[in-house]
Amino acid sequence: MPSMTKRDGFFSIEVASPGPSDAILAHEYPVLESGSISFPEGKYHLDLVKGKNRSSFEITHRIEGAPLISNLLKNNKARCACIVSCPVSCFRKTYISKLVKQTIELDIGNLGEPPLFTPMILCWVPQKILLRKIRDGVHPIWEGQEISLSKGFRLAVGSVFQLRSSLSSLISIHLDKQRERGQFEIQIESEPFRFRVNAGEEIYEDLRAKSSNTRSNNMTHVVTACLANLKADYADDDEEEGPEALRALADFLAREGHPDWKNPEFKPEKVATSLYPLSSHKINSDDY
Amino acid sequence: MISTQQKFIEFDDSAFTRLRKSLLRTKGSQKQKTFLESARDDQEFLKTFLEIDKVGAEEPSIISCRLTEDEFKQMPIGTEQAIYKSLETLTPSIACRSTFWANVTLSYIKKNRIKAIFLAANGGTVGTGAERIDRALYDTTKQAPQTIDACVRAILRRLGGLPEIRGNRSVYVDCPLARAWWHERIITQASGSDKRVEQEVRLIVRFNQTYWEKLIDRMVFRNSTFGSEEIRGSLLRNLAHINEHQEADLSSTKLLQRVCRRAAAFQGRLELSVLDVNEIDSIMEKAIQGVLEQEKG
Repeated sequence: MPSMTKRDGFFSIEVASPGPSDAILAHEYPVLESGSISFPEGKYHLDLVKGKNRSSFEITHRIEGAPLISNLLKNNKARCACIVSCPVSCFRKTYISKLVKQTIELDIGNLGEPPLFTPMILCWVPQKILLRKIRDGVHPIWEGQEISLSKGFRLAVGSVFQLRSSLSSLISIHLDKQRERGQFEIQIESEPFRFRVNAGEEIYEDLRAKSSNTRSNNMTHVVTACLANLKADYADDDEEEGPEALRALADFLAREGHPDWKNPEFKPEKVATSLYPLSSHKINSDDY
Repeated sequence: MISTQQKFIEFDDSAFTRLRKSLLRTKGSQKQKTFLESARDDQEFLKTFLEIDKVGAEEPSIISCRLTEDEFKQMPIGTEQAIYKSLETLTPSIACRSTFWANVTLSYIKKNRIKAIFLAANGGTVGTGAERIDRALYDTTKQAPQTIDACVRAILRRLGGLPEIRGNRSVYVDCPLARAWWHERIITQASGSDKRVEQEVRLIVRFNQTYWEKLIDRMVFRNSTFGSEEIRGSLLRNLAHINEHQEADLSSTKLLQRVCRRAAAFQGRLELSVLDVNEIDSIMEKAIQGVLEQEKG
């Protein structure tokens, strides 16, 4: 897993950095990838911002110390790409962008689990280049060599990463026909650990709906209730090694900049509305 | 990840996994024997799953005709097409789950389209499901626990797949109803709306069970090249075309694996999925012809 940091509301991921390896001549041209010193100063970062509808991402590819690649991008001879794949449901799609900032709209119907992302920079226009160490930022071993690039050649390749929201993957929604239409309750189950949401028909349909104006806010209510239950039941839990899912959740909250449920500062509603902000929409006065 | 498109009913994953794990915990246990006995009677078998929670809102639709045991094991083309059509709105995100297919298979039993004992039948000519269950339950040799366990596993695999043991491929390969849906899905994707290509690709996909398993292995492997619809489609179209128009037998799984390795070697050099479809086709053709020439040599 590449190193990931959260900064000003977005994730910054170092997907490739140089390192000592004998892979320098593994390709017919220099490639910026982890472990290779083809670009001794080269670094490949990805900034990632979650989209508003939770199934889209905005990613920004940042190449440093590899002028060969930066110039190809600037001169429209290379493209930024991100492969989104989900092996369990037989899915793999390459998203291409002219710009370093690209939007990835996930097709949820094709994803049987959180997808894998593989960022890369690809050659787009076939060309021959005589490499220069200083101009191109390549290792001296490439100095004076002529390379031939074809469309689709990988100029920079980032490590594969997967984004899992440790919270939403722990929520399991169930229809409870005995319950009033707009009501729900949370039960914490321990084998395996998860939040079970027993929902009345109306709220169940809403939480499962593909597009609904109210789904997002209802989900925030559910998350608030889950976290409140977690605090009530697990705040005094002295067990060092809790369930793996809970440790992953604590890590997830920490990455998002929140304390965990054992910390007195932990406020369920604050965490929930920070992770899933309530959206304000106009309500007819007749609704009340 | 919470799927927002969930509409078909399926078993709750945790509860269904718990049931499968408890059934597989001890080879030859009383629990396994009771499970096998229940499979002789459809109603008894259905009762085993009554207590398992379900999620989703819509029961999946099923085909109208009853299937024989042989038809269930080796489905005719028309039956596979009918199953695909009955679940046209199903998305891969659900169709890859054993929890979904187990519920579909039980619906087929409940509505008398198949019998629970069919699930115990193995491929080939090694006896019917009923015979296998009897052989397991009346086995008095030292091997009895293994025989019973194998029979229980066969039932669970046919029901919806056993991904925790057989990996991602299990749903696609082991569960006949899921296999039918995925056959047609992949054929439809590869052939577009060309009926002639569709027939040729169908021949490839249905060569035999091992061939299908090898194809699926390539598609559901971690981050596989053949997960891409364009690359997978091109491979199948080219295999189908050469199979149809050249005097070459492409039905060997070894040959398929060598073709896939060659195609993957091209992918090692460049990202195939961004190329024009004609360029991908040309690369796939080269990979197949290269292997065929090697075979001749």
